[in-house]
Amino acid sequence: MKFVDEYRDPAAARATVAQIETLAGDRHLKFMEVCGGHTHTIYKHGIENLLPDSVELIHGPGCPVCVIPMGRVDDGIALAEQPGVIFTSFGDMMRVPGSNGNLLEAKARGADVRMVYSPLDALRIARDNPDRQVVFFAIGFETTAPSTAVTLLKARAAGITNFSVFCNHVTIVPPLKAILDSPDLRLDGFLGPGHVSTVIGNHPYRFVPAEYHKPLVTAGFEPLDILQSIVMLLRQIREGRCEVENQYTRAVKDEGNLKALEILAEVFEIRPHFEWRGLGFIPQSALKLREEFAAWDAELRYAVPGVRVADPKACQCGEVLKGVIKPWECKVFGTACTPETPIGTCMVSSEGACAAYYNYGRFTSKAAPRIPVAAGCATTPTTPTGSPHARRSSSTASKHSAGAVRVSWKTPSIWPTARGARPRLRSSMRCSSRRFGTRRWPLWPTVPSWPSPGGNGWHSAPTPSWSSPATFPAGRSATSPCTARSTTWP
Amino acid sequence: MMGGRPQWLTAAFVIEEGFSIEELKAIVADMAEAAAVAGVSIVSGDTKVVDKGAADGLYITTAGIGVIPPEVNLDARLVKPGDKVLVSGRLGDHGVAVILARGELGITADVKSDTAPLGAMVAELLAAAPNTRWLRDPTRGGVATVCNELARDAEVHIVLDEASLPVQNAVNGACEILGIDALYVANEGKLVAVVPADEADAALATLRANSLGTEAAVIGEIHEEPPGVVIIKTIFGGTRIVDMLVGDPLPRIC
Repeated sequence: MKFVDEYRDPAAARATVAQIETLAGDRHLKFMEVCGGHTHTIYKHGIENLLPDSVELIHGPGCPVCVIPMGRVDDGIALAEQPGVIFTSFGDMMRVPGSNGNLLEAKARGADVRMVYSPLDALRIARDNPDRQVVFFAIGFETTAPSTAVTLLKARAAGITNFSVFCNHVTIVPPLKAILDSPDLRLDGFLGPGHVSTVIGNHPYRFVPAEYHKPLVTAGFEPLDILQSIVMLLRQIREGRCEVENQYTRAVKDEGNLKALEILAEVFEIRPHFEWRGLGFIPQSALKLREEFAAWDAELRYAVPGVRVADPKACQCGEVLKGVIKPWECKVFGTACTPETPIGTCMVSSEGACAAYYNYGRFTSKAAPRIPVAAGCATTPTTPTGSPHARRSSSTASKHSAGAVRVSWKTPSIWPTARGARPRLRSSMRCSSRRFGTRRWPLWPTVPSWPSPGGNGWHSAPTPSWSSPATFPAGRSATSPCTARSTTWP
Repeated sequence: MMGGRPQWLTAAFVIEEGFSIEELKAIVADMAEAAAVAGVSIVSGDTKVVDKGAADGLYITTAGIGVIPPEVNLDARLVKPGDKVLVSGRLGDHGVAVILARGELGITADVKSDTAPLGAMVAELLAAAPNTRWLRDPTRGGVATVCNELARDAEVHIVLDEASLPVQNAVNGACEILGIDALYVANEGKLVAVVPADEADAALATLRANSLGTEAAVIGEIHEEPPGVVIIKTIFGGTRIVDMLVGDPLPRIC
């Protein structure tokens, strides 16, 4: 198939793998692939089996379904069960477990839950059903947020009032920053998220080399993209460079998609804090609708429970999302937690590291000792014995039990402790509206200046990466905007 | 798919009040034509008209009866390591055609359902490869699901070869866009056969000689260990598990 086969050429893959072996030498290097799409590709094409032992891939937090906390799923189900509501959602959200089942089960109980491929489909349903209220469960990173924004603009332009959005959009840079701040993890570089970068561009990642001295290569999603990105990372390390590079040039422009950034800024603003499944609350890491769109905000239109629900004790999605443990090192992976009966979100979406690993690699890889061969689910957990990986699994599991996650998670020092509790914002987190001209960003921190090579500028603030246009001084050295390593970041 | 000759069919109609008579006549005429092609008599039927809103237009359910010749013996337990897995043509046409026909995705492609009667093809196959072990129609759940059922029932390990899967470009493209796998997409006019290695060439030639099987292919092989597991060798040189589908294939969001 054109535009696909070229990126799956076995001969080119072999050559690239040989290159990786040579470049890596006898070092052991750990690279995190940020995006769930990468994880999916890596397992689907068996890339992990092709790589030499010197290169280890760690799976990152960029799976949009995996990071939705149980409380938000419960809120979604509560919305779906409102009388007269048609609740619309992306397909892979349907099986994500809340504290009382998932959306498919809500549908079986009588809720009108419909799968859509785009928020525009949800808007069409609203147009076709003027006597019903249609709610769209908006999830995803900056990749999917623009389509929600466009839909809201269209709803406003068309005066469609029986449509609303339950907004759970998140941004990629805060968790990346949190991972870099995590004491649990030592990484040698990042495969940057390709599709998010089509929207936000490459500039928002500059803090990674500038402040944390880790190289980052924005990577495409085909197998050769991944391998080539690894080569680019290895070259940087070998040549003593540390910078943001773009492998996915056929889709990603350094400045991102300016039109998309513009409509994001028009429709959304930053939430002061948002809970990430398994990761806890990360400040300023998610989006909500601006006041101008309050009429389309499902959280304002309906009384959603808004109760924070703790993750199941056994679930180690947090550690998996942070890359601290491999999926098969989780206590319940493949035994109590399977795609059929997922406990954690990572087992639900095909982009989730656990599901990808379970579906594609569990018999041919290091996970094998932990998984009963019968593909069934509720079998007795196999005691990890024998392989060094199994032993590591056991020790890691005890070290990172569910309760310990937040203790070791350094960045957010402002956990809300109970329902409704707000994190206290430090004074430096409050936004100076002057920075943004006439646009109001009441919940944002002061945006630091950012160098702009060649004076072209990039039209987004460092983080959230698509903030209002700002001018950046040209010609300065690559100073990070995030010099103050504090919770005020971004 | 048991290697029998289909003989008779029942047809029960559940019709929503107000359903177009013209459309119903057209559907019945199509059924009569398809039955004639397949050499099947529709011998029994029933109609129920339900209130407006109680059904979505029309439901038809059928049940078929055929006769298995005494010399035909197909059973998963006959499948042995070394046997070859064949498929009679391109995968996923029906499922993708249905998805596109719903018109919800804004994708258009020239993909037609592969719905077809396979009775004649089965008879030819069994004549050419008399020791054929097992046959199955990869409808809902696709080839991946029937292979998993076989691996489980026969307690064998199946290794598929991604490079030899016959999938047309348009179907591949739609699957890539939707984030689903053609191996799991439904077919309505295909069969999966397991034949002994020494009869594989004859079986393949016979399938390809039939107008419904021109793109038939050997797609895999039966192995012993580990039993119950289906894997695929990727074009890329790696391997991955082909698991039983959980629920419906749900498209990924990005």
